[in-house]
Amino acid sequence: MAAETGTPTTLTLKSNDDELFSVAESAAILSVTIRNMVEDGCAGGVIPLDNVDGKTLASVITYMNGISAIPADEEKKKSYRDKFLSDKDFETLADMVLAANYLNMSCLMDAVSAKIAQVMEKKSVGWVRRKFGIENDYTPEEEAAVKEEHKWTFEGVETDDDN
Amino acid sequence: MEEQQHKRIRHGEQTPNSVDRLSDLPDSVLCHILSFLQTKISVATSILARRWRFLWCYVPNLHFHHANEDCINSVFLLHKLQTINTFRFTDFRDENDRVEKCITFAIERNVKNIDIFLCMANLPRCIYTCKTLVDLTINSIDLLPESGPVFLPLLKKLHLFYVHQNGYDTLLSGCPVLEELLIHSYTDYASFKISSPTIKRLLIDLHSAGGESSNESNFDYKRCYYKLEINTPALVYLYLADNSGQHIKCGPLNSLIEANIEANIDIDGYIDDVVYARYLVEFIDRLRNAKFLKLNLSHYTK
Repeated sequence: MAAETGTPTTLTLKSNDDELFSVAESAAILSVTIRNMVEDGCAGGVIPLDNVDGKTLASVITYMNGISAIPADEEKKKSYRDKFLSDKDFETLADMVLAANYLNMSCLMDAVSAKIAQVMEKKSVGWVRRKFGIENDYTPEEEAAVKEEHKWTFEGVETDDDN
Repeated sequence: MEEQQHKRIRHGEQTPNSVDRLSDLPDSVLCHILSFLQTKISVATSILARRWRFLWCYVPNLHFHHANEDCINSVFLLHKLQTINTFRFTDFRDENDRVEKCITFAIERNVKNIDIFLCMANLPRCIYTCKTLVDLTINSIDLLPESGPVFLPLLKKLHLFYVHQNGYDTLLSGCPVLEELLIHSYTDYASFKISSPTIKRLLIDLHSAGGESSNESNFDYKRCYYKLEINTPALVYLYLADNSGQHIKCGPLNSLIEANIEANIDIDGYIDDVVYARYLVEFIDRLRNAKFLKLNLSHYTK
């Protein structure tokens, strides 16, 4: 589309807190959700993204623009992704994974999931429960049974430490 | 909305919205996050809550890192998926039985990608006839089969680190759709030939095992004196780092778009520079179709 007319097509995206963002269609269609809307002809006016807030959407658009400016070079794309995520805290990563899932952006989804996994790896059970909003609904007996079942994995793991 | 506010109160007022929503993520997304963890740790998430107890059984990737027998047995018993996406096995102990057991399991579960990092191993033969394998990385001083059946009908990407060169021929002839080959290797004792009508990306990083001790006067440079043959007519991208003084013979590369060549050698005193220069010029002539060419011959011109 953009290539045919010679002028780049711009899309307007609206976050769930009513912020508007302009983004080149060529970058925005990294999101399969947006691409489908464009292909179905639903992208004429403003595209509402009900599950993404303005702060997260701004970040996702920075990513879309940054990654689509890099030609087909997996190494450079990877180093861009690493750099892009390097200063994000856990809450931001959580917002990003939700947004990437909703927008169906596999490359961002993979990068953010890997980063979240990397953070989780070093944290205690208490920390992960808190950050993921998980309520421990095991009875003490059940919890003991799970620990017993996979004894080999809990050796040296502090299962109730809150760090 | 009411429900969200309710949760927010329950988790305390500092808890951001995203955390409440993280707990609402579908299992498929949580499994996706778990797939980036070592299997031992993804199993450990079963302690978090009831919902998480068997979540790890549906994670499409398995990564055993120094895994003991209990871990492997337990995972093989409980893991539910019939198709494994990526199977990664990293270990520095050499226990062939364990390696064989794991690879056989992965192949029975229609594995797509295998990534093995071992000191030294005799990989089971079944890895070379796996019908589902798309991506294979072997980082191990392993011997490839020089005879017998090799057939990897779906293999597109093959990365070999320190795998012995004898057997490249047999292996490549059994990969009818291979697109990318990476060879990172010591080269001191072998000459080898890369021949494939389908390879589009070829990355060769060769260095002498004596490289680190090359200042020592007793290092025998003549050992580096060998031949590399490349016959890959469909090649689009070539990376060649030659740190050990190669003789390179190369067939036509009519589809080549990009080449990155580094010949970082100090030829003084140990190579017949006239012969080497002739091979090098002939080789560089083969790169004439490339739109992007990066040549680093700094040591050669010195």
